[in-house]
Amino acid sequence: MRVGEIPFQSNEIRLPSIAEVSSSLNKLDVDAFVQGVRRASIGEATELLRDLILKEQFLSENNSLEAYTEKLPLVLESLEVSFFSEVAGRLEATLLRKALFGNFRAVSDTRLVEILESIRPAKTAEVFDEMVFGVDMPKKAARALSDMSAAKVAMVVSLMSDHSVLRCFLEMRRSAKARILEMLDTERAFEVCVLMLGDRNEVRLARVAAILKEMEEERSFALWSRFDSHDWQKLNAMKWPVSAWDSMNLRKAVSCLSGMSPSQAAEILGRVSPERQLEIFRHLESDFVAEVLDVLVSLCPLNVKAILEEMAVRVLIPNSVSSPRDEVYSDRAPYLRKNMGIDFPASRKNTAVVFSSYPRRSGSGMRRSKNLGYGMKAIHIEESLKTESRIKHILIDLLELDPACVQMKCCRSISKEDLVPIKQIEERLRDIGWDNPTSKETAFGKLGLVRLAEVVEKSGAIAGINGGFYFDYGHYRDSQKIGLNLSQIPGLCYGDLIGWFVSDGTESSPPIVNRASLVVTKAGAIHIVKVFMTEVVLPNGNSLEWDGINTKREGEKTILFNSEYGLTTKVNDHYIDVAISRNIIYDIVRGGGATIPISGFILSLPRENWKLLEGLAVGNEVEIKNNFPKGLGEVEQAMSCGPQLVRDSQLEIDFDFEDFGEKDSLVVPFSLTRAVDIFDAARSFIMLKGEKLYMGVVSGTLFGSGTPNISAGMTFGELAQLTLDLGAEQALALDGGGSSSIVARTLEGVKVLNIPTGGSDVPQGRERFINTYWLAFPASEKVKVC
Amino acid sequence: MNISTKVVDDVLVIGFGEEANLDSSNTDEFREEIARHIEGKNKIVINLANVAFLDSSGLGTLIAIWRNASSNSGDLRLTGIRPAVRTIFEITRLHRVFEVYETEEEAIASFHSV
Repeated sequence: MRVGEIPFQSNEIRLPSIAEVSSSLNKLDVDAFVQGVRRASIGEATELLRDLILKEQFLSENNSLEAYTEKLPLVLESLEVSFFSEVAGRLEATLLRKALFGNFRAVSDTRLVEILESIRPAKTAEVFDEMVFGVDMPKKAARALSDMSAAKVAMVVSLMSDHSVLRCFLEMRRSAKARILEMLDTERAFEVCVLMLGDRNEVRLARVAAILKEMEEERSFALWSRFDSHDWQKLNAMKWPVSAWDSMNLRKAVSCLSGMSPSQAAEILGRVSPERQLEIFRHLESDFVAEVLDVLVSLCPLNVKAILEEMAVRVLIPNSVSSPRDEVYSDRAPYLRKNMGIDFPASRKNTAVVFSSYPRRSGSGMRRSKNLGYGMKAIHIEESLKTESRIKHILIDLLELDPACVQMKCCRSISKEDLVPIKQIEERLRDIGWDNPTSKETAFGKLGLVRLAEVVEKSGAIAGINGGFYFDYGHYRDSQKIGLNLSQIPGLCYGDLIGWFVSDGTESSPPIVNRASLVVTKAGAIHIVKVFMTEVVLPNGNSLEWDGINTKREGEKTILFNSEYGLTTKVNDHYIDVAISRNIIYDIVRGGGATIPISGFILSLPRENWKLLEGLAVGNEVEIKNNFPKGLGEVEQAMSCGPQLVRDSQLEIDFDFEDFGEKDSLVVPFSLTRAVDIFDAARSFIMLKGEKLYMGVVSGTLFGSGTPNISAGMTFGELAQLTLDLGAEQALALDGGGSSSIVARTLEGVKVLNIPTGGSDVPQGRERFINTYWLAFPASEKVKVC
Repeated sequence: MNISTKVVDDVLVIGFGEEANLDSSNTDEFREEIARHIEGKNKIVINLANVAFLDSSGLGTLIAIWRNASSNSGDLRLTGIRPAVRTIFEITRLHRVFEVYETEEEAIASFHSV
């Protein structure tokens, strides 16, 4: 039995076409396939699964595997673990990696761990060794290792290559590392410690010392005794008083320190562990970091040197003529050094702890530009990008804007007042003819969405680009596919913005998720910064802060829950849940178990703190404060989206820190296809370089309804690399896919520069209706209402 | 290093009078010489027809000139790229950064095409 009718691994001269493979996979009945595999011998079953993996890989490499239509994850969820483990033993590690970790639709964590624990440790180690490189894979490997039983992990880690152990450890929590070291034999555990120490800078010493101190005493002692006296003394000297800053929630620490003067912050940070310093510095604004380091360098120069080195550790995408191992495009550390105004020896050998083995993405093509007036330049790039498996033809359109000549304004087409409760959406769409093909294209327009070119035309703007995420009909339908009925979520509306939104100084959506935002201040300065909530001020004057996000409730801690956690909080008599959506308290539930508003969040307080809620009632309005540094100015316009692609000229994609869930998970509105390295789509982005602002779109026509090969789109990894190639110092992704749209006013009139993807509602080449967008107006003209 | 310069309209055109490599052995010299010529100029064409090879420091110099020109509302455009240099451009994806033209005339004209 074969998948479909087309043999893939045959000796036929004619290879099957993409369409044939795609068609055979579409026809595949997963239940029948699983039955067939079960009945087959192990050898035959291996061939069947290998065939399926190769076919999905073939389609994926040819950009023709649509996300979430894969069969492999469904097969893996259905097959008995013991049976699959035998098959897995015969599969090549690269194919096994693809099967377990390389899908759009993630295999559930529980099933994944069951499978990994049942496979021979040597094979599992081989799989992890295949996951050292890139952005996605090391994180997935680290998560899987953290979830596996300690005994299994010990066996696997003892067989993994040094580099893959080091890479996984970089992505793990300290407690997980301590647990793994406890289980390894002393020899291997010592080897791993030495690997982590590297050239023994202050941060690495602190990191290893902290792990050793967290380990069970006897095992820890055995390790301590292996170090020579020099290392032992240095590690042992890594003592610092444990302060509240060491254990504080990272976002809270970042927020508090941002509000201080550099000398105050340096004074505090000088007393926390170098490891914690590094963690905090990674998330503070660069200019502020440089100022703090300027102060710190006189107090503890070794720490500062180590921090600067470690700032450049996570270097993943090569851009090298000579060797992808040694050269990186640029690091955050030199950027900071530049801003600090002090001269550090430029030691590169310490920086590239993580090597990248991305095959070189060379490419050829043509760039052309045209001045459009108002200090605006249109740049068009047509290129052929060589990836591992194919050559992608890509169209890129950029607008270069001089912030001194333009005024940026962010807009939403469905105002807060016009939001449609989600339970009414089906009825409204029926009324306006969603089912009728002739009126389908304009149906969303009747719900209040707009097309960007029309807005630019009417408003007098000179340019525009689509904006951020909002809760739309697609989310609603996707949730139905996975069995959720979101019409039951109180307060949820069609058109709700997912994240921060400020227009003309008025905030209409708070930063309920921590996402990168483009911010324009009243003084006209433009920033890209991650903005999150820090405090809720109640109408009774009390202020609520939280000790954790989506974590276990314990003791007197107040915990914030958002939809990334799930649909409801857990029932717990000791807590009171306060549900807040769009700055309004819509529910107060004693004993927990409240429904989490998708457009908001829940603050779960210990009952002992009920007095803080005294006098509150459902319907009260609250004030939500955020971490946007006051020193950067007063916010005039702001819209969040993300992920941030580049920060301080260095790759920065951190889905977890930005509250992005995996698409197709229960976390519907927080989700996107997180795969950094495998999923091509149209992409919109904004980047800052020097004094210039760039808005750009990579056309992606694969999943639209037209010709897919006009422009293949890009993965997030490729997009980040593109912005780095273009010289970005900061860059963030905007909503992509069918929403991607960039428009400019030219001598010939208002033009859509990219080729819109199209989709189920509009044909390829036609703009989709959108809710949020940025407009650029000539600075000298009064901005018209949009 | 034998560098020739001329100004056509308001475009500075830089060429190499003899076959040259642009690598770490001479980029400092190149940079210094270029710096004298480009002062006050933001529309620049470099004709690389006589450049047989360039390495990462040569590329770095071109990028520095480009950054300088673009930060002054100008641009650096290239012409006369040989196959060996083109290969290096492909590896480093510099087609995303530089506008490359077949002939010097086309490169100069591109500044006035709007």
